[in-house]
Amino acid sequence: MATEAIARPAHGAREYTGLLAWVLTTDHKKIGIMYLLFTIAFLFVGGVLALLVRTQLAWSHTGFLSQQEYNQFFTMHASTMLFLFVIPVGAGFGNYLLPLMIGAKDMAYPRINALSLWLIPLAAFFMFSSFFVEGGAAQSGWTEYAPLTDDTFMPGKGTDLWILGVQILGISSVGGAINFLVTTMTMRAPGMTLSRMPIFVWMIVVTSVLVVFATPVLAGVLTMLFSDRNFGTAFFNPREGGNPLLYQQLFWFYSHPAVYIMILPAMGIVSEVIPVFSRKPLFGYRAVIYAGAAIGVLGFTVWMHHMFATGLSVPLTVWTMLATMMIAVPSGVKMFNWLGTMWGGSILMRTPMMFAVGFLFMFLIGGVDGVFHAVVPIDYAINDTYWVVSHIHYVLFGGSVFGVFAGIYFWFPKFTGKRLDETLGTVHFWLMLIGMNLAFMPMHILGLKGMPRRIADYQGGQGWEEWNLISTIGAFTIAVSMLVFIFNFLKTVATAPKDAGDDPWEGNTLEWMTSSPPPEHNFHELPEIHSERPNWDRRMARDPSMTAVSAH
Amino acid sequence: MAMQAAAARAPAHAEEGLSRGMAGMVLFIASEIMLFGGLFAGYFFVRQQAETWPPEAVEHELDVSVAAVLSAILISSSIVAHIGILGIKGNRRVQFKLGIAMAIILGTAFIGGQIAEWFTLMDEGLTAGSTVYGSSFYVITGFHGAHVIVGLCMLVVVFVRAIWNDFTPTRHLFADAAVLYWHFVDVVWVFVFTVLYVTPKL
Repeated sequence: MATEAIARPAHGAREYTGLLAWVLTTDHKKIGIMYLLFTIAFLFVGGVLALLVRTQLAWSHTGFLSQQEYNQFFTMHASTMLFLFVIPVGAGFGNYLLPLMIGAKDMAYPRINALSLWLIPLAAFFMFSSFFVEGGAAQSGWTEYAPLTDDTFMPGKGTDLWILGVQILGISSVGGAINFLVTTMTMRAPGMTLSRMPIFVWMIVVTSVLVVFATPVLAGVLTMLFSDRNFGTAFFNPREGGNPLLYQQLFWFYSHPAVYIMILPAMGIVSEVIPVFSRKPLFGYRAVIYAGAAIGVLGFTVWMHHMFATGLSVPLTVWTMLATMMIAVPSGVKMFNWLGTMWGGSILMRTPMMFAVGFLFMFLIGGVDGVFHAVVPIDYAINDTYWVVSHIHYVLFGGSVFGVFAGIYFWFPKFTGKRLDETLGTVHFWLMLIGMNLAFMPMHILGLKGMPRRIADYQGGQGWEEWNLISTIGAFTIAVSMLVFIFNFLKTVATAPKDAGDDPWEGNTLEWMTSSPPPEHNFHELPEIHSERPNWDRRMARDPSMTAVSAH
Repeated sequence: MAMQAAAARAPAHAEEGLSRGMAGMVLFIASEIMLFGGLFAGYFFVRQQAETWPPEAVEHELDVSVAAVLSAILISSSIVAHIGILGIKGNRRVQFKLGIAMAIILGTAFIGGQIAEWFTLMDEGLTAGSTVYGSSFYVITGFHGAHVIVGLCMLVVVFVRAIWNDFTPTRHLFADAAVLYWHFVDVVWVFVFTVLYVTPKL
């Protein structure tokens, strides 16, 4: 039955084959897969940098790295993970899934979509080439504060190449965000009202709003930094009327919303996985959406909590503390919604669900860490110590990375028609969970014992070495778990049969109502949409013995 | 059943509210507002903490009258661009082409004037390094000028397509989007003029 959904070939498109078909594509599915391949590759690169850092810190005076090497590696570890992995990976999942989930045939601007993708390896090229210039790569922390990064103190080109790379990634990000928003606004299938969109789509929408409004501020402040370094301007130079605190203010105005850009897509993924593997609808669909929006809005008001130790005025400090604590509320709402989904459900502990449940526990720990930080007198004691490092890794690794792997195991059959091995997936999960807690739990203790972050070495006899050693062992355990995943991935791609079918998990949303992988135009026939669970509705219509679901 | 199936096949309404192209331009302009917002926030931050503005070390202040002329040029260009859009809407193609052409000419004159002002100021000793007063002036006006040039490029494309009679009274999305961007660039200039040139004099 022919429908509107069948696309004509893109205007002027020719049929390419092989590698050229991928390099020149504007198809959101191919672009999404390339996003995921690039970003996961950068996860591994960032991981190797982390192993170098953890080896240096495994004991006092290991002598493994020089101070300058260490500074470059920890800076590039974070920069790679944040800018080349965790932010674009959400766009990768969004690219593949958002059009499918709303019943569209592609994104609103397919060519800008391709541009957003290819800017990523270009940016990576600039950032990593900085290792080979005089003075080495950027080495002042991923935050690159002025005045340390002024050309007086960092004269090499590494910092400039870093700035260039981040600016390019900003353009990629904003282009993608505008694409997601316009696609969602204008290309939803008939019946796909806003209140029937999957939560993952809603989270991409909120994330995209954050990207559009926050990223340009980073572009502005990095331009000021580049300009101070290269054109003799004085934005951060107090002798000429500038102020280093201006850098921090503008930098964190972006970088705080950025952390919600990093976590919301993962929360969206978890919101898709948990209902499927609990055989129950998501508890509180609207509450989850409102909570996501609240996190987005509040997230723009709290950036100064990264600056408590800089002498802010009392009113600003108090507001920031209260608002930061308030953000825990919508996050908690989501936590209860996810738990409420599982409660009374029929739980299937497959690999995607393991990572989703792992997310719940690990993100909870990281979130509670954050509430500690929010309390200003406590922050005075633990800021810039390993407590922060623990917090950020519990939310980013335990949160975003676990969410990403939940998504990979969940949607891999849709992307390829093949199922990843469940046993290897289980091994991956447990090794990663154990490794992660070995790596980051001791950092709470190190922080409370006063170990500062970003130090290349430390004196023995302070009670730090043992915890650092455990942490390093954890880091290598994570690495082993990644090897298990890579083996699973390669084995499945090479040898597994293409027998997953349309709907291997009995999912709820539109992407499970087309083939695996979907045809070029996504749907041969657009399904009827009467609720936020069109696939469940169709299964129920076929088998009336299933429990009825209220459609809305 | 047939009606249900037909309804399911009905095309999704893309034209209610913003069209796909305009929605993209509006969001792009939103991101640009945040870009200038960050730059202006920086300006206010350093100006608020300065003892005098311009600071002691800066000898030469900005010339409001020059900037006023530039403002008149740019605002006129927005007006004629709008007259151009009214032209294509009413199928008056000469009005359309003239309006866009005048906007391009006036916009180019603005850039010329801006560059001339820059050279004059640099001759008089105000450079990007002349305290943060100079830095913020050149970076903000520089960003603005770059956006004017982008807007001019878009208007040139509109003009060329207008010559080719690509647009109709009901289908001229790119012209609408380009002129909207042009108006945005003009509004930013009004901010630049008011904040950088006028308010230090008050």
